[in-house]
Amino acid sequence: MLGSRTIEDRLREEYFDLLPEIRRTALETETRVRRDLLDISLKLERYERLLITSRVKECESAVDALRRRQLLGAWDEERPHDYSLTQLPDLAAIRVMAFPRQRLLDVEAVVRQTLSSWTADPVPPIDGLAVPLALKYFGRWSLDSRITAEVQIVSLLIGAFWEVEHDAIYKPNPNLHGVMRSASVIQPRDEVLRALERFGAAFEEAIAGSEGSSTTSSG
Amino acid sequence: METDKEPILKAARYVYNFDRMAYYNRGARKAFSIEWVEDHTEDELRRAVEEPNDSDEWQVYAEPRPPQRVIDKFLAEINAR
Repeated sequence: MLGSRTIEDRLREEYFDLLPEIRRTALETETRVRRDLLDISLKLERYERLLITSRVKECESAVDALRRRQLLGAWDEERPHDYSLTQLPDLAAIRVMAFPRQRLLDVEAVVRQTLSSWTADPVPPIDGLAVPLALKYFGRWSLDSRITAEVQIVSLLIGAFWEVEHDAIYKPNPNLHGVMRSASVIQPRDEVLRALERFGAAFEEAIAGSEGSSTTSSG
Repeated sequence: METDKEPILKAARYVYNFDRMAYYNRGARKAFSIEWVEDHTEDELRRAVEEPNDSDEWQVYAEPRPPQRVIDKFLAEINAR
């Protein structure tokens, strides 16, 4: 019965209508970013890493992300047509992870040019760190596209931590994202991020100050 | 949220509901959306927490203010817990 459909049901239907376009957008974004970063990839030293991952937001994750953007995390049942998953900025998302920091800066310079017309939305620094945790851009490849894509550039260790955190905690239970707004959880999580940054910096310094087969290119 | 705001809410026995992303205290009949807490200073939060609620109605701090039906649904949910 049409009248009894919930807002979530309507959004799930919308998701599967959008899905082919979300997949195409993810593929297009990944391909464009990989092409732009090819020169950097080919010049990497053996110990340097450049990882590019892409993901299509899953249905329940998308519906819950839109709900969390509403006041008090609740739908207004009287206004079902106010909601569309196309309001989400990250239905298709690419993450570029780089090590060491110099490669991260190289990636940032290239991607910033490619995405100059997109909106920059950096993840702000946490206490004790001077630079944003990650650079984020969102935008659309064409005016008629319904899908907004996100490109995120982050250090290898923090990016890897976010992937583990997502797979272990949020993927099975998208509503647990709300827990992360609580300061009692933010504090220990920030300690992990600071430790990863310190570890990355120390590791980088140790490599720069030493020599060995793992630091020389095979070229 | 800044770490210095949560102790104010915890000390006043507010509970965080992560589905609704709001702090509430049944005894005080007050609730704060996480956005309201994030957008206001520590002093503003402290004043809002300490201000007595002499009415029988809940005071819901959320900006922009959601429609009353959304607030009613939220209150029904937390009252049912």
